[in-house]
Amino acid sequence: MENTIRQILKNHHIQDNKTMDKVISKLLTQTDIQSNIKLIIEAQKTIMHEAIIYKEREEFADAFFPITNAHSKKKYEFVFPMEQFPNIRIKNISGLDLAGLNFEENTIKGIPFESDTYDLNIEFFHTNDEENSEFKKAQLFVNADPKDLWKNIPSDIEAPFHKADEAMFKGSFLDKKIVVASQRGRSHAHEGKFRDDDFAIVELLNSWSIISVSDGAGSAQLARYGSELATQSINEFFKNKEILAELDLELNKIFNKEKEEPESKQNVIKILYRGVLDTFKTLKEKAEEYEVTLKDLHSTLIFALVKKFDFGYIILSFGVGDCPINLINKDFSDVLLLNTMDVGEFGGGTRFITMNEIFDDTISSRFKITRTKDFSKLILMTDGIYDPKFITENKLEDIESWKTFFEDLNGKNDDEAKVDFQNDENIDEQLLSWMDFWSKGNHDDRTLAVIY
Amino acid sequence: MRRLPIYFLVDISESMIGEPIDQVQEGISTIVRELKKDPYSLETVWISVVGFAGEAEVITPLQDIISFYPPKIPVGSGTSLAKGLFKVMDCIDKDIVKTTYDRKGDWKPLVFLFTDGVPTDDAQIAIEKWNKNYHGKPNTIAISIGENTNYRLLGSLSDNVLLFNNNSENSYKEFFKWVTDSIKTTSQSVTEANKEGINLSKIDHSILEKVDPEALQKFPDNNFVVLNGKCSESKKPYLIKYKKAFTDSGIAGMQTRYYRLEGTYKIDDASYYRLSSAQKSSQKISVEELHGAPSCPHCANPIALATCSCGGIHCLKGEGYNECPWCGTGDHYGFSSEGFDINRTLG
Repeated sequence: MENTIRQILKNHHIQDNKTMDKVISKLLTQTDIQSNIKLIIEAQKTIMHEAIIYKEREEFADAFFPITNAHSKKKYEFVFPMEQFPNIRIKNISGLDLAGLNFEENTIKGIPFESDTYDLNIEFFHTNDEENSEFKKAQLFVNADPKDLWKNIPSDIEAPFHKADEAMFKGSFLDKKIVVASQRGRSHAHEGKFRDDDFAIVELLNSWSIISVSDGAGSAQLARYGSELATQSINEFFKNKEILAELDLELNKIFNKEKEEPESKQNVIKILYRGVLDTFKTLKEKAEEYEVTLKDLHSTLIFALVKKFDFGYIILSFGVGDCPINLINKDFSDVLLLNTMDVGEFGGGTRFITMNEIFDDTISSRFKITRTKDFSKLILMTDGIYDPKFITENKLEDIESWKTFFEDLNGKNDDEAKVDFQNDENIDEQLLSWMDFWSKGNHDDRTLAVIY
Repeated sequence: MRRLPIYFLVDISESMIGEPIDQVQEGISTIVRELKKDPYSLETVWISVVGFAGEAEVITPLQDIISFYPPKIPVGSGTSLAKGLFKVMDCIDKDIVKTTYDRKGDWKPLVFLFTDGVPTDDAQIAIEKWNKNYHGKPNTIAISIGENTNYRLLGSLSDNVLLFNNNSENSYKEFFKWVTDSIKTTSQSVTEANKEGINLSKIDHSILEKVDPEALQKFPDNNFVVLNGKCSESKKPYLIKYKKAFTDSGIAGMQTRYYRLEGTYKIDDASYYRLSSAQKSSQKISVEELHGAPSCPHCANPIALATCSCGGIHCLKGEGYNECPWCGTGDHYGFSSEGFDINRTLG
């Protein structure tokens, strides 16, 4: 009581000294002063009590804590960190029911059914003043399953150079079998655009066969036609009896003689070069015919021209762009990349068959002559497969990655989709449905050809 | 999977206090809300928020949209664009993965720079470093909030300098929608091969206009006066913001400048002093120019604009004895009928 009087006097700038002690003791003898002081102390207590309630409520209202994001259709639980606010209780949170969640014992729980952003109104009170609630706003994000957001809009059948959204093929390839499937990517499906990938297979004269695969550039207006033209025209070029006879002759010289035949190798590459140049010219002519630019037809191209000789299979390969051709040996212990890949520092830095610049001094390095006694698989694919399944270029030359890849084809995947290379009656359909696999961030067109 | 990293480099100097910072906060949340609905963005976009005042700080480290929660944006004193740029360069060095033979790299990052003021320090070294090593590496978009920025300076950082005109209630909404759309188009086009340039969404010229950095620019006077006070009761800091206005001077054709009270704002002490420049402001303003009497945002004191002989601004119950929360000296306070000068912040 004495201290309270002292404080009052101090607040009024009355110095604290001996005289003051006397004044205070006099004041303390008066009962009405005493009861007034009691009232002051009581009043102060009440004020402090209220002040603390306000302060703690205010601090909770101001506090920022991120509420962990939820995922639609997945079990969710978030516990409010209330340790710092021992006297605050959350009474209710409105807005949660819209998300299909509920609140009990400091926890938001449940399985949210719809993705959205929900504005929450958190109703809370102080344990010393349960009657009076206050409100605090917060946001709750419920993420969509990305799969639910992708649309699948059919492409316009009436449009020029229309191409089916998916394609498949099974058959024989020399004395082996072949299966190919090609599917429009999610990004194109989302906007009702076309499949820009293409492939073509031809059984040629003199026991030769060719397979070519092309990936049209997404940014090119008529890429769907460019990739079709590229694969068709390179195959067309080799339908020529004389050209194939010439190849037979040179290859026999190379592989049937003991000494090296560098000149014959050069001649083989020259023939292949003529084929590629012919394709470039065809694309150029067609661009002029339809009054578009070559850029509008931008497409990559890979092909494998294959024949079985007495000395083994000969694979003549070429590639421009970022689609690989791979050869896996008979006992699946080694893998070869049969073309050079064009990849840039940042995503998308590739090259196309429609570019003048590829016909420079380095073009000979794009061709490969490969001899193998036998092989278990010859594979051609576009980056729509290679990006999600191999991720980086080096994995294409790593046999372990290929083992994983074929295990995946054999059914070791989330969808348990299996491509059966033994009982291969429906192998084309199996490959096409396997190709529908989900991969976050990868939504390009997909084409895969396996010779087995 | 390839990521598309987006950096928001946000000016969080005091002049942004109040509406602008609330709107940036709201804006970032709107951006995230919208991007979550777009499958391309949801799968590819990663976001980081970097703030700069006197100091710079990573407010949210780079993370995917799926786990991103809009942060609480702090404020500080000073506008060190240099420190902001250095911070983003550090982030880019640390975060961005380049494509190599055995590694899949990220897409080219996108940097949105939001600023409403002129740097309070020399940004030259940072800009030189940026231009030497970083120009063109990330795609940069500089957005001037209001006309009080140096376009030439921003132009030396980016080919895309835009002026945001906050002239209607809807402006911020539209503006952040534009930012969202720009991110969306960029995230779509990166998945389409071979697009190097940046794809910005179509600009609504009434809200955003492209600025020619070389054009002659008349600098308006200081648009804001911001004062930093401390609550006498709770010792917590607050800011008082005044906005420039004009009134008739009594002489035909002449106007007098004054500053009208815009509001008082509570600030978080820890982040405020962490983000504030060590450089002390020596700028002063006469209280005669300040119109409007603010009250303390922390306690119930009716006067928020009292000043002690130490220069500290604080709140006051009324006339009488009070202790200064800055220097601790107690004194008798009275109203001044004459004008006096008061400390301003760096802004």
